[in-house]
Amino acid sequence: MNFEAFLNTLPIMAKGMAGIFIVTGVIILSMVLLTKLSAAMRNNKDK
Amino acid sequence: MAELFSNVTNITWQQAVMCLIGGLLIYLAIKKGMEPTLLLPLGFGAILVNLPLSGAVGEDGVLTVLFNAGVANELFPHLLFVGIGAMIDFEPLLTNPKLMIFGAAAQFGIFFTLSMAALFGFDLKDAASIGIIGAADGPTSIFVANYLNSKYLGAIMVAAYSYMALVPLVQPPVIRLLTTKNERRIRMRYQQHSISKTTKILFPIVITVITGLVSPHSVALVGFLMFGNLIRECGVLDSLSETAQKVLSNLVTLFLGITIAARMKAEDFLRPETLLILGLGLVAFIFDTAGGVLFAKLINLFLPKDKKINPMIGAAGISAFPMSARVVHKMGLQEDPENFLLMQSIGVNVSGQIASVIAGGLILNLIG
Repeated sequence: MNFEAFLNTLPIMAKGMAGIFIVTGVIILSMVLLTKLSAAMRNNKDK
Repeated sequence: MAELFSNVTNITWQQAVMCLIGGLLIYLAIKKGMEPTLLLPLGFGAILVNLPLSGAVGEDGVLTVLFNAGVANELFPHLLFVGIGAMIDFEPLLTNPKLMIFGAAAQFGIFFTLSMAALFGFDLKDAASIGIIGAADGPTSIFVANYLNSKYLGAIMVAAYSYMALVPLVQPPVIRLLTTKNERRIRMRYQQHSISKTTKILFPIVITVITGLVSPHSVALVGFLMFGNLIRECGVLDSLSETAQKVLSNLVTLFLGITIAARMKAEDFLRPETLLILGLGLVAFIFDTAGGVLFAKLINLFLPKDKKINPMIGAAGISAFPMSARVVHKMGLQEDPENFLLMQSIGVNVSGQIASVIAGGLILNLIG
């Protein structure tokens, strides 16, 4: 058992999970924008 | 006559055990239907490389040539991702993009297992390679373990593909343990919006650009996944899309399993660490599932009563597609025959596919 190595990996866990949530957040935002933009463009076309 | 059979006496007990393991993998693939496309070639390959003085491995052995040409340079995982991208319909995710957050939460098992592997004495690169079993995604696991030059590639592959096949057995007890009956009965309305073709075409391009900017190590994998999806959605390359989904995927899968077996030689595989890696692989899948479910429960604390999320869909955030979504849907129906969670869980499941690749890229950014 190597507790020191375990403790050293905890910042990697924190950075990794934070990184995934941040990237996912950006992707979600861009997907929402994308959907809204294309819906607005379709509405303009219909008019 | 004695010369003809002289090689028989060269077989060691370790090689015999590996041949038995190969036979077991073939049995599981054929009789139990466990990931047969990978486990069968892997099992046969294990026998092939463990025959004494096998000409399949070694400097000029065909499996060594295939390994160098397709796995060592990460070509096979990338090609396979084109096929996977062409197979995935991201519409359920585009209908409700917020579901993607569960795909992120369900990658917790990767990082938890990384820490556990380090605790058990693996060096950081091997610990990260073992943790990536939790990506529940074969090509990503191969990509990361190979990039980090892990000596446990064979064991990692066996664990990753075995647990993917075992998702229907691994996930339900964890989900039941972490949820109440009432939570499992929560109904979620699914509102089908029509997603424009433009959105479907722009989606793979946008994802590639964002991921490439934030996690450059994973851009090749995400890019090939999204390239496959772009071929599918563009509407002018139906023939290529069909080829990517069927011929390309089958061809790469055919060689991938048997090529990985080049790393299943007795001296590399029969070590106490292999058992430990198999155990840690299970830990990764359990904590992925727990991460998704517990995150959904956390979100529920802030949602009004009529907007609560069924926490089981968080479990579908592991990348094992589409088994995980089916497990959640089935469990929902068991609790309430009129509770249909398939579309929501498929949305979460495909987001897990993207999130697992991002997680792999982040691991390479942090450690590679």
